[in-house]
Amino acid sequence: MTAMETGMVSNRYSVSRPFTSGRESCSGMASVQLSEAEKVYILHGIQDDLRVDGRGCEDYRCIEVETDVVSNTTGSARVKIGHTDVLVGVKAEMGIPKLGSPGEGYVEFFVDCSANATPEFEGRGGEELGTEIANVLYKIFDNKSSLNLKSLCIQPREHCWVLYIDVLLLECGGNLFDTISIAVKAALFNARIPKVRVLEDEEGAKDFELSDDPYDCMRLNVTNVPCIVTLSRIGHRHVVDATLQEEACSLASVLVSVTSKGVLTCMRKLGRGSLDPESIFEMIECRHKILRQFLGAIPAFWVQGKGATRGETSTQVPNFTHSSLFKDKYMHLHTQPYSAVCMSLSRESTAI
Amino acid sequence: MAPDSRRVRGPEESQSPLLYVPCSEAVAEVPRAVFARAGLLSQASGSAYLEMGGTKVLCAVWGPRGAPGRCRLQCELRWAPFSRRGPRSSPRQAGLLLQESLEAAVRLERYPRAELAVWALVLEERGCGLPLAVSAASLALADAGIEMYDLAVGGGLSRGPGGQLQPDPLDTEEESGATVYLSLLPALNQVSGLVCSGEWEGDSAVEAIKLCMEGCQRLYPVLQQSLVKATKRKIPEPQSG
Amino acid sequence: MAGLELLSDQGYRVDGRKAGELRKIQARMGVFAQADGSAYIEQGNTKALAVVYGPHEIRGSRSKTLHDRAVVNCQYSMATFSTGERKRRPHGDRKSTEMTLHLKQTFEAAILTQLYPRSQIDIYVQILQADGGNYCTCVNAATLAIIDAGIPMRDYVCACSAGFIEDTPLADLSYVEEAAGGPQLALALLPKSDQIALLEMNSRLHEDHLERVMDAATKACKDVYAVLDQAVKEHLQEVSAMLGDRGMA
Repeated sequence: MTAMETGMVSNRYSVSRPFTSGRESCSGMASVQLSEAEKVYILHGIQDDLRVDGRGCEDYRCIEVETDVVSNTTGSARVKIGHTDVLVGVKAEMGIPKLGSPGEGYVEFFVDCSANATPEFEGRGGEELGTEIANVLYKIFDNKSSLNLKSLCIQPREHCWVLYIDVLLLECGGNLFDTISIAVKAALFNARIPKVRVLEDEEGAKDFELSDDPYDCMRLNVTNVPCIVTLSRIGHRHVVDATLQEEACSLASVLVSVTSKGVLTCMRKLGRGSLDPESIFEMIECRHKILRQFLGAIPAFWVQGKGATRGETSTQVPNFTHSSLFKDKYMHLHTQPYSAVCMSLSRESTAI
Repeated sequence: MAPDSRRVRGPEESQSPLLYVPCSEAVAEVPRAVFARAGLLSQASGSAYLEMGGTKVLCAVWGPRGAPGRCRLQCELRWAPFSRRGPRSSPRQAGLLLQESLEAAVRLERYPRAELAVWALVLEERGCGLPLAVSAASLALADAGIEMYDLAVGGGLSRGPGGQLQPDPLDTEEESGATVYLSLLPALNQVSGLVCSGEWEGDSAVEAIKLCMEGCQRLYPVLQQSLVKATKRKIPEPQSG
Repeated sequence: MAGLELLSDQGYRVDGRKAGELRKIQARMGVFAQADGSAYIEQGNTKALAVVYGPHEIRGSRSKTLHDRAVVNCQYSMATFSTGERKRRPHGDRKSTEMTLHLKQTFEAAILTQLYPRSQIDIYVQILQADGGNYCTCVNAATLAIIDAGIPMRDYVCACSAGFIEDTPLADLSYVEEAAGGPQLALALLPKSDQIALLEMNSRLHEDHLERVMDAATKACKDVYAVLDQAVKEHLQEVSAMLGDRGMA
């Protein structure tokens, strides 16, 4: 017996172990069934730096970012990478600062893997994956520089802003973590927290006055908010932005969260395989290249912390902008024949 | 708001006393002394106890026992309520991290339609509870006679305020920010688990991982020895003659 | 009590609509590629997303299987950020469970379930932003998603709410009007046959007024039907144009 022949060492050709654990990479993530031949096809392509959809190993799919899509939130964003579709809403609510850090606000994450993404998530089915993703998000924000939490403090020890960052998974087509991190960053960028004035009367009772002028608001500095890059080990190489099919071929992947300066804020191995230390170092090294690609591909707001994206211009009044959710998008061609729809429709109308 | 008449309200400015609990300024001796023993629980299929400079982990394995479907490794990692002082925030999803680290080491395909239950308890936490639990769990699995590729050995590391890297950190050092936990299959030189948190600039992460791996390699012979001892205890001396 | 004037003397409502006027409806079908059918709809500021999977084999326990028709399985959930106050759970609370049940009853009445014995149809609806008329918006979105999935129905199911304020029946209540606490009626209608799929009323209303409110709701449902039908036709045109391009290439 060698470890190699069983596929534990992921840089071998053997891509699957027929009787191994049923859990795919992480939790019950919408998994696809691939035949051995399909896996080999994907694997061979990746050896030659050509993936099924024509990308190279270190190329992302097209990233679509829309901000300000849900008007009753403090900030919101929808990000779509391939078939992965994520909606993030940030709500700022007043709360009491945590004991350990009386002069800071805090952030709460919640990930809802809705049944929209896949029927497997119905009921409580998506909860496990949801908490797993939320925990990763907590981890990448668990450092001093990601977000200036001091700016969220209203009154030390008494009042602060709590940012509830709620992630809603609409469609799941691989590379969830990267998509969610981009959406979180965009939603935080979009967030407009009303300014608060503390009024104190003679008896020392405090009263708050929230500014109702939509322009009189606080913006967050998102320059240092990290993004996640997930690198999946397939064969001898690693790929970024893996599709569901590619994720099914990968035994182990490494999740790296990097800021725009290239600082690593969190790293985790995902999946049931193991990795060669050299390949991990290679993956860490590769973040610079990907970061450059990222910064090139995504609008200027990532770096400068200001600017305009689609659906949002500086002249529009916040909260009154009309969202462009699901509009002016190209059509997806369905696998379902549309003639069938027409037929069933016409049959119905004649029957009635 | 109507005042609560039944209760004496504390002063407006009140804080938890836990904020003022003095932190022990102990510095860990490097490397921290390790005590390992396998096969100490009679009820479990396999068990192990590991101690490293104040951190104590007990692990038990049950199985393989029948369960529908493919083989699963069910891991649970708990911290005892008395394991550390101060407010205890139980690390989230610790069981999942344990499972990820062990799955690559265990030959699950040899146990179809079966389930392996791994249950680890941190009795006292003085830093490095998670990596020690990984080592203890793989020791317990080996003690239970489960087929494995290699022992998964856990190692931890944290970066001090001055930027120096401290292997096997104490809990006070872990709180300082940047930490790395890693689990290694030493004979195969494969990393089966990796969790990094905090900020790592430039190539510092690579350096930290390398140092962590060295620590794992040092722990490996200790675990092997305890395993040999446990096996000798189980099997009676061959009758001479 | 100087409350908010929900209906001005000139007959205008808070958002400037007339009593029988609907909010602006915008719909889009086929928003997701992986689902069998999907639709997104906005009614004023209420935004809903519906996704349909199936008909497929029964998932989970076989005991649910019906031998003469398909099982309609629904789930109603609200995004945690959809309401003014943040919600704790997206689904599973009492209100969502009730909504889920209502949706199930509505669509069991409309889908030709007997065509798919021993199978299951999943309808998942998600409120992205709530501003009154959540149930009705969900029904409309689900109708479009079912059409997108190509599942035969008796007719469109069109739903609309109605209220009764100051002796006037109001169609398509917004959140402000709902929160005022007057009588509320939700009607899901199969417009061509004038059959009622679901009717629910809250609060207190004099029997004499019921007919007027019902009439207002029925008319509103038929207005909704016109909009939905237009959306479906536009969608089919778009898709057939694309299919045509493919055919020529």
